[in-house]
Parts: sequence; structure tokens; C-alpha cells
Amino acid sequence: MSLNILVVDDSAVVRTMIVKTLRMAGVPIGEVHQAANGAEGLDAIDNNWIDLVFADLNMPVMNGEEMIEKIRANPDWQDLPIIVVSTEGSQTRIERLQQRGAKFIHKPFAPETVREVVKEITGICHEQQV
Amino acid sequence: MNSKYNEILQRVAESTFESLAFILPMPDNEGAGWPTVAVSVGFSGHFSGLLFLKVSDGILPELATNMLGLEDEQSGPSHEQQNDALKELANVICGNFLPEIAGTEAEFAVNAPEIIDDGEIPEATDRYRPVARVQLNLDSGNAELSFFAEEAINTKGIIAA
Ligand SMILES: [Mg+2]
Repeated sequence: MSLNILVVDDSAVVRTMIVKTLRMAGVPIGEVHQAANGAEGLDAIDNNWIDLVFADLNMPVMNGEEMIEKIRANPDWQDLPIIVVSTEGSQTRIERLQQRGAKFIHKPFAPETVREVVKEITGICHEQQV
Repeated sequence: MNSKYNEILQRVAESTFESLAFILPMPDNEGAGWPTVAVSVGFSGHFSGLLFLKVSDGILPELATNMLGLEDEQSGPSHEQQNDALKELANVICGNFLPEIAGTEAEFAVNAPEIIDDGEIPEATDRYRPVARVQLNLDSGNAELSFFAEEAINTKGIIAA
């Protein structure tokens, strides 16, 4: 089984870095969707089959925290796996996100960390391809 | 300025260059050219302020190539990719510096970084006071960072400014 991924971040470089890291980590990827803010992210979830969401927090139009709140408010998306990738240093905010069932990866991140968290949240991760 | 802030900014910036782009400190790199491309990141919340980062031209291609994993590509990173890489570097430095000086309970919103057209870091700003200023000698060039914050950093920061 491969995972359809949605990467929500206002930086194109970061979206590319996340997808590159997933490939390096040997995560089986199906479709890759990208969004530049929370509102575009919600549209992408609405219009596609998404297995796993990577979300930034600081974004224009709609930030990541608001997007996650709206995702969880929809009964169809209550169990959708979400991984927040951010420099966020506020323990208060991180705990709030974890209470909504999101995992947290601190930037800058190592590929092994991404691999571990994806495995933990989806139970899927292939051996690293060399 | 309190030199503690300089020490922390230096440490956070060096470790971010290294972990994000594999660019290492190089103490004697005098001939690497003056920084010419600058970016600013504003933030608000617990207290507000601005971080400026300026790097020499030579750093940009390496930064983007390493961050995006373009080592095997024939063509180098585009101008846009280089600017985006610099913005993300500044974003990560700012995001990791704030909890170091404000503690892990404080919440901030970090704005999208912006390239400064004339490539100059201002000496002063209307709203903020200078808090830290450091220069980094790196293996592929030089970098300069300035951090400004509102007066409230004195009471809300974990170190007296
Ligand atoms: Mg962002």
C-alpha cells in the first residue's frame, strides 16, 4: 500500500524538502498534493483521497492550527493522520496540537525522525532504499 | 545589548546552517566576500520584533542545492529557489531563537520572511531596539544577523537585555 500525501506549507522549498525526505526515508508514496495555506489544504482534502497530511503552522490566509481545528471538526476527517512540521518552540501550543491528535516534528529535522513518526502514525514504512 | 543574546544567536544560527544546509563554521574565512543578499522575518506575540539575515552571494547556490537535494542535477538552483532557501533558513533561525530567549511557554506568530530589495540590514528601526548582532564565517561565505525587539523583551525575555 502506498500513501497519498498532502503537504501544506507556504514555502515551496519546504514542501520540496518534505517530499524529498519521505522518498529518502523509503516511505511508499502514492499521489503527492501540495497546498500553500490552510484554506488550500482543506480544499485538497475535500477533493482528493488523502492518507497523511504534513502541516506548517505559520501560513498566510489560514494558519495550520486553524486548519487542524477545521479538519477535526469534520466527522469524516477525525482520524486523518496529521504531522505538524514547524520550528514551534511553545510547549503550550505543541500540547494543544497533540490534543487534537497531531504529531509534531521540530525543524530542522533529520530524515530518520520523519521516518519514525510516519511509521508511528501510519504503521507503514519500507526499508531505506540505498 | 547583552552579550548573552549574541552568544545564543550565534549558536542557533551556526547550528541551523549546519543541520539545514551542511554549511559549517570556518573561523578564518576572511576572503569570502561581504554579505550582499538580505532577508527579514517579523514576529509578534509574547513580544514582537524582527530578525535580519544577510549572506554573501556565494552561499546562496550551495544553500539551495543542499536544502533541495539538487546535487545530481545538471542545472543549478533557480534564482527563486535560492531566495526561497534563504527565507526558510531565516525562518528556522528565528523560530529556534525565540524559545531560547523567551522560554517554552511563550507563543509567537512568525511572519513569512521577505527579501530586502536593496540588500541592506538597517542600523535601527522605528519600533524596535537592537538586541543582538553577530557575524558568521562559514565554509562557503559569510553571514550577518541582527535581531531587534520591542522594549517588552526586558520584562518578558528570560535574560535582561
Ligand atoms: Mg510557514
